[in-house]
Amino acid sequence: MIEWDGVLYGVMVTVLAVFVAFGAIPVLAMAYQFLLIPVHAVRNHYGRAAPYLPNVAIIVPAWNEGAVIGVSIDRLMALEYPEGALRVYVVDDASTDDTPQVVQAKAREYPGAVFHLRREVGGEGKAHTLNHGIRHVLQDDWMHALLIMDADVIYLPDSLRRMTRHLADEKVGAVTAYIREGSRDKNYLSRFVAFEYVLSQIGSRRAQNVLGALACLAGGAQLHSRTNLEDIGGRIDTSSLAEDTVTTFETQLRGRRVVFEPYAVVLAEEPHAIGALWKQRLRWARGNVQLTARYRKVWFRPSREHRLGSISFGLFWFSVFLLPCLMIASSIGLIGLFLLDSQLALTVFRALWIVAACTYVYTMLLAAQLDPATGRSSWREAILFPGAISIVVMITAFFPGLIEERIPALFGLQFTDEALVAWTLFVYSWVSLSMLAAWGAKHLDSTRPGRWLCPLLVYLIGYGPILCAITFDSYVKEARGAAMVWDKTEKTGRVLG
Amino acid sequence: MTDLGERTLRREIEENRRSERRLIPQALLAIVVVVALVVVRQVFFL
Repeated sequence: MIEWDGVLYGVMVTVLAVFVAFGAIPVLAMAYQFLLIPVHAVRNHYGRAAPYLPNVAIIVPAWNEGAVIGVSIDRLMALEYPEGALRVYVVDDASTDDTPQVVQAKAREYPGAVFHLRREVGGEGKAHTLNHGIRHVLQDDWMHALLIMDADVIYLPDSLRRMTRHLADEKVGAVTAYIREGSRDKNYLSRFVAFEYVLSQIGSRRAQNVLGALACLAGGAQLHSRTNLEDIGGRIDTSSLAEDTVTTFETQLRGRRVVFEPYAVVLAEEPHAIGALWKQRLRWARGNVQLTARYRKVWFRPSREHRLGSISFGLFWFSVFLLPCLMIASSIGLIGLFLLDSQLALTVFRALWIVAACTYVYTMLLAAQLDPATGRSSWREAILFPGAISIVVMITAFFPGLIEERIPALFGLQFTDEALVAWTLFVYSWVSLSMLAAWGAKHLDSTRPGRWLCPLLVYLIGYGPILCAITFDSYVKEARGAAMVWDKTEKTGRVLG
Repeated sequence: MTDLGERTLRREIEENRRSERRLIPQALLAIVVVVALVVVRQVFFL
């Protein structure tokens, strides 16, 4: 006689345990990526790089960049690169400020090296603006390589030549650089972004170099060989919000490599307010939703032509793309298990968060060493990247009894049974609640008290949950079919020269 | 103007290639700290 109650109970416990295990996927993917980083010491592209200084056409899309474009051009002209092998084409996307005058003055200052291309009808997005310039530079044979950048970024003098050396290998189609947050007056949010870029660029992209599959060429620093540019159609994709990623994928799908060069550094100004960050990242995240569907026949299908279909790369991609779903599933699993079998819930909670704690300590310590200057200026943000509350949750799992017993006992206090249940439920659901809190922080940021409350709130809930909440928002916007608006991130010329 | 001769550029590539070797001790240091935390947990909290 089968005891159906027992079978049902077993099935429910198993399903809920699997839900909790979903939460471990992004953590293990992160750990895997950062364990691959030291492999870059022996598996990198330097063995195939060689001195190579081709004619480079630089295309700078510009819309109302009068405040920054002049300095950007001066910096480009000061690059350590052979005279006469560099041309700058500023594609003015129907600017209404003094961008045309500034660029024309620079064209007179650097004759034959700086060109002003004007679009009379603008506002169609960066890809359309870039294509205007690309059509122009492909008209003759002068250009051997094309650098796509943003108007406000500053290339360090040796950065371009550190990128071109990889194009000496004909198998390489494109090269990208390390975009470093370079604002003079960093605030708490731009310091978080600075550390995020350490994690996502000189950290993760080294791991992707090792795997031989790169997720995205940075929009402000992508160098293409002419052959690659022509092979991918001589134009940038205009049908999605993630044109940089499309270009990256199309390059690799044609069997060419994309290389990340960690020693080519480009300084950029990043958002200083949650609203601006949300707008910028929502565009990126919606682009990724679109591309996940577009390249559905690529994922988890290993190929001899490229590595985008490898299991590892698919794991990296989907652990970010599905992060909000995985976090919510994990919370549901933990709370469900707590209601069915609180001891089992405690065991799986500890297992999950101990792995998370070890990954957190390892990745933050390694990342801080990868860019010591950013590590020093953003040490608070590095420590509090997952948020103070998540750190308390990690301590709860890692050091059993410390938060619930030992620390209260120091003050002569003791958790009541009810308080312990409330704390447990809070801890089990925190990864999902943190996304709600991040959404609240976005709305608080635009209010008067938000100016001083928001930094405190973000240090408490963490920067990671903000990115996670934005990804969730991107699902909603895509599901609703919201208009694809190419919102330009506001720049004020804060970048250090 | 920086010398952009072949020898200089080759030396720069070689320097960057060698610099990547630092990743190994950096990762080991981070792993050692993680192991130390696990030892503290095992000794004082279990």
